[in-house]
Amino acid sequence: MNLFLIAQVFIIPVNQPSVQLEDGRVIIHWSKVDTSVTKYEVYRKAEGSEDVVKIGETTDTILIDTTLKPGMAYLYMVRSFGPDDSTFVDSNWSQPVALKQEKQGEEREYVLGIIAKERFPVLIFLLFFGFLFFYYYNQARMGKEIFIRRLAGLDAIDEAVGRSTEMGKPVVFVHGLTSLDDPNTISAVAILKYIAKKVAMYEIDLIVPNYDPLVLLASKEAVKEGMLEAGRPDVYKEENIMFLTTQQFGYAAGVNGILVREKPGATFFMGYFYAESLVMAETAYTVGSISIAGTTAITQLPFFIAACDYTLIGEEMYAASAYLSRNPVEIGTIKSEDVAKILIIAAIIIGSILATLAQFGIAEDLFNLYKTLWTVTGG
Amino acid sequence: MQTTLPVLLTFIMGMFMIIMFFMPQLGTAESLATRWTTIIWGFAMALGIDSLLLNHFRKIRKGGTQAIHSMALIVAFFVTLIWGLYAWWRYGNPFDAQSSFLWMFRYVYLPLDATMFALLAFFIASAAYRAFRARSMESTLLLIAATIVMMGRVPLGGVIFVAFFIAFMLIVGVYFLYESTKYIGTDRWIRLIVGLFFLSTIVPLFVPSFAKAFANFIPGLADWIMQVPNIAGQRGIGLGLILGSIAFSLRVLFGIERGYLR
Repeated sequence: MNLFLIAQVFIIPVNQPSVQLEDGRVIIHWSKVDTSVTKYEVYRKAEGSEDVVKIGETTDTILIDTTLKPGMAYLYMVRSFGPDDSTFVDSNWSQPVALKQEKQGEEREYVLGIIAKERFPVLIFLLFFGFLFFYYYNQARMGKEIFIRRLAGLDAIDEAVGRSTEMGKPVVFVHGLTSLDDPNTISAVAILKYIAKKVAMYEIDLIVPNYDPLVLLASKEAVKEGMLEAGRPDVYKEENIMFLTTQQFGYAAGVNGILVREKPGATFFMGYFYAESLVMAETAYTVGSISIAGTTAITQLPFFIAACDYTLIGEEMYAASAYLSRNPVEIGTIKSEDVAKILIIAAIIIGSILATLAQFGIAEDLFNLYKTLWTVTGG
Repeated sequence: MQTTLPVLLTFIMGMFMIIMFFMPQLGTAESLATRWTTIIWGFAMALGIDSLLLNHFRKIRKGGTQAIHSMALIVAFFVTLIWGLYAWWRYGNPFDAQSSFLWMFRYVYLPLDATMFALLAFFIASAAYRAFRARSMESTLLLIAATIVMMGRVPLGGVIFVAFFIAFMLIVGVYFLYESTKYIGTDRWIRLIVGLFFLSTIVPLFVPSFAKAFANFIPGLADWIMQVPNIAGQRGIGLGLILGSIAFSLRVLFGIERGYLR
């Protein structure tokens, strides 16, 4: 059987499937590129072998293979079928994926008999960071003043809302594309609550389009609560917090429509964004709105930095809620991040120096010891 | 009670997920959580649709010039819904190859979606224009790095860069020579030497072998920028992100941060 045969025409093959090894099984995932496909069959072959085995069929774009032998490397291929079962087309073979001996069920190695060995360094790092976190938390609770640097993007929120008030224009808050299980979104909801409080004080409209229905519900509660805290629950307008769509570019079109029609004085983009980020941020710029963005999506950060007035970069987004609360205890915990970062940077510099010296045959043993320590502590 | 119960639930569930992560022999917490989220999301979707429709019916009732947009949305919503249900009943699957719903999806929805995506090219151009204006040291560095990467990543980019480099050095060199005529003494000599220096950098590029080596150097430099300074910056942000997300999760798990709650 020739698996690369493209029978007849008209079906677009899926791209190379992506494979991910997780807990002794392989998750094979691919994108739907042709909507006329009625089913997919997934095939597997061992690396270096031509024996192809069908491992299952599905109408979905994901399949999990649980029948791997440890120590073998496998490749996967997806066959897409057209309306009649004789029409099909094959994808390219995936990257090889190998199941190591120790990751298989009972063969897995444990530390202290219960903790998975390969995750032990993560635990060590978590304990180390947890110690720092609670140390600074206690310091702050005992009243010690803790300094953290100013975050221009968050300080500008008041200025942006004030500008909107002066212009008599509404404020628009745009969520990212992730749901409430993402810390980005939880942080964004907390920022929204703060903005709602400010907006209520100045009695202007706050428009919140939503991509995810769960986030919609959280947004409604956050805005209601923020306005209540400001003592102005009457400013809350249910119709201003609306659901748009769960389609990426449909959402971008909806947000752009709102921006163009309402011409807000300030626009906030908070959450995890994808390719739609610049489409929306640039539209906000063209309507003359001051824009403040915050995201942890590294690929979208350059777009926001180019198009927005202020951008919360990465961790600043997570720190936003604590920073805005002005609560010294919450702010104290942010200090632990900075201290951990300094320690990690120091460890990287020491490691770089030792690695360089080891290249010249100096202090090789010390470098090897350092490497072992680095690995064990989650580096 | 309004905050204690959610905080307690968050703590229990968070700890449960952490324990399952370190002790995978107990099962996969992720798949369990995903199933629960899917169920909750299904119910929330009904509320989302309710919000969407109510909002637009309200706008139609209010009237005005914007009502036409709401009417278009309501009509599109119900046409898609009824059409999809009909195709489901008729073919067993709305995306069946024979289904007219599939035709609508392919020739109405997908082109609209692709059009929105395609707009990104124009938005990138306008945003890049603003970002690349050399107003400060940072934006000048960005402009230089971006120019090298762009030249290095396109076919014939190296060759174009040679021409670009010659033109740039020629303009700057001639500018300094012209400026030198306005001064006397040391100021004149400094400008003269700077101008001649810029012009002299062009000379070796008229030697074909050197020009070829210079053109080949650009793609390598572009790769270096992408793989060394770019990755270093990304890793720096990534490091902060990981620490930030752990600290944020600890704040949420232990109820220190309640900004997202009532």
